[in-house]
Amino acid sequence: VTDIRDDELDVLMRDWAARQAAPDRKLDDLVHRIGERLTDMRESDDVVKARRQPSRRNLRWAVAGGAIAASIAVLIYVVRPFNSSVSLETNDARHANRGNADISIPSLIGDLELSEKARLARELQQEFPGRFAWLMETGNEMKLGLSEDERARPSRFVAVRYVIETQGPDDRVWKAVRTLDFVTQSEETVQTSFASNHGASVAIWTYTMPDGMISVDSELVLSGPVPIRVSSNRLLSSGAPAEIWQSERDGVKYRVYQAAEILENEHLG
Amino acid sequence: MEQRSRPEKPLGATDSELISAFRGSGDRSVLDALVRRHIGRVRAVIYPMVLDDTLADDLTQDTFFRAVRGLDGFRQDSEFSTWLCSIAMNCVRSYFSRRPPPVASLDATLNLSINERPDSAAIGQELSDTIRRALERLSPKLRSAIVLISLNGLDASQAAAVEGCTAATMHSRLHEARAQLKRILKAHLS
Repeated sequence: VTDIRDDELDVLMRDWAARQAAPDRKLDDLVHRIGERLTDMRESDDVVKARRQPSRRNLRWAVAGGAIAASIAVLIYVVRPFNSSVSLETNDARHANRGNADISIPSLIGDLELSEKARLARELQQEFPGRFAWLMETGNEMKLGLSEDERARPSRFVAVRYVIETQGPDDRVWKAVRTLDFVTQSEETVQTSFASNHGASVAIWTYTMPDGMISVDSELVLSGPVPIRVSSNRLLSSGAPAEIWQSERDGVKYRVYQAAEILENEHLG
Repeated sequence: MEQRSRPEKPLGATDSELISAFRGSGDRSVLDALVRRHIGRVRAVIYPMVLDDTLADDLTQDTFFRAVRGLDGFRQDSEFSTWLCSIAMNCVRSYFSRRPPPVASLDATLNLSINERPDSAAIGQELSDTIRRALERLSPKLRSAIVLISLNGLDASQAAAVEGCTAATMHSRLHEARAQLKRILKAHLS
């Protein structure tokens, strides 16, 4: 083996690769298909923006919307508070810095929350050396994912948050009605269901890009006043939430925001 | 890599200029130009990883889809092409996380009986199949080292940036990948 030079091997492999290259015609077709998909995506985004414009108010919708929001809100208030006054201040500041008037503030993960999540991740790592894979928190439910085998070296941890929000016809602001929080290792597949939400399930896979961006693939299935089915592949800047789903029923708007943050060494301590 | 007649850099704007123009205008033709410029390279990164034409096409589309959605976060502290490579590899990892790559049987017979030389004109179907099976036997991390450096000409630092590891790790992976490939392909290379 040792008498085969690397450049010989590379020539062989490059020749092989050249033979597998797609012909121009196929690439042109791919460019066209990508353009069509991106156009559809942009039109879809435009629809979302248009729906955010003030619409005609309807008392019946308002009552229904209020009832729905309240019933879900009960679930939230049982949970540990994710909006402590301190973290809200932090979030507000970060929100202001972004200058985005339509962003979901509850979806931002505050610095204190990050430190808290990192502390939890660190403790779980110590408790389950090499096996702690992910942690989910929603409502009063918490789940832990452990790998069967010990890992030689854990990868980076990522905090991912999903916030489900509603806005009734008379509401001026969006209300967060449910939050799903995850701490997961990069490249770890999270697949779980919820005791508190029959038939609901979630699958997440994250990957931290070398430039600090976070790729998050999500499959969310949640039941409720409006069934939520989200299949999303997003490239997120750390801490910059993105809307990944929206719907409207009976004058009440619903949306799901997603945010992700890398738990850096300073968070992990 | 022989790359057909398509120019690597069409006349006119740089990547940065096209990105700025698209951010400002949302013009589909600007985006098409950007996609057209890089699509051959992106597919050339993805195909040897997944070794399936249809899947490579799908993941190539996903790569640009994700890239455009994440364009606001592109800080331009790396080349756009390198950034795209990172996203392409990420799409592959994401796919493998859902469907782990089949591990080729260790006792697979590779039929290395022909006496072809490693020049481009002489590579036949049998050798092509052998190389494909050899790549299948590499772990995704070793395969990515060969794909990024040997096949697509990135240097170890660029490949390390794509893979999120150190250049030394990348050198080590490349060394191991080449050693494994040589063992499998030695009948063709001798």
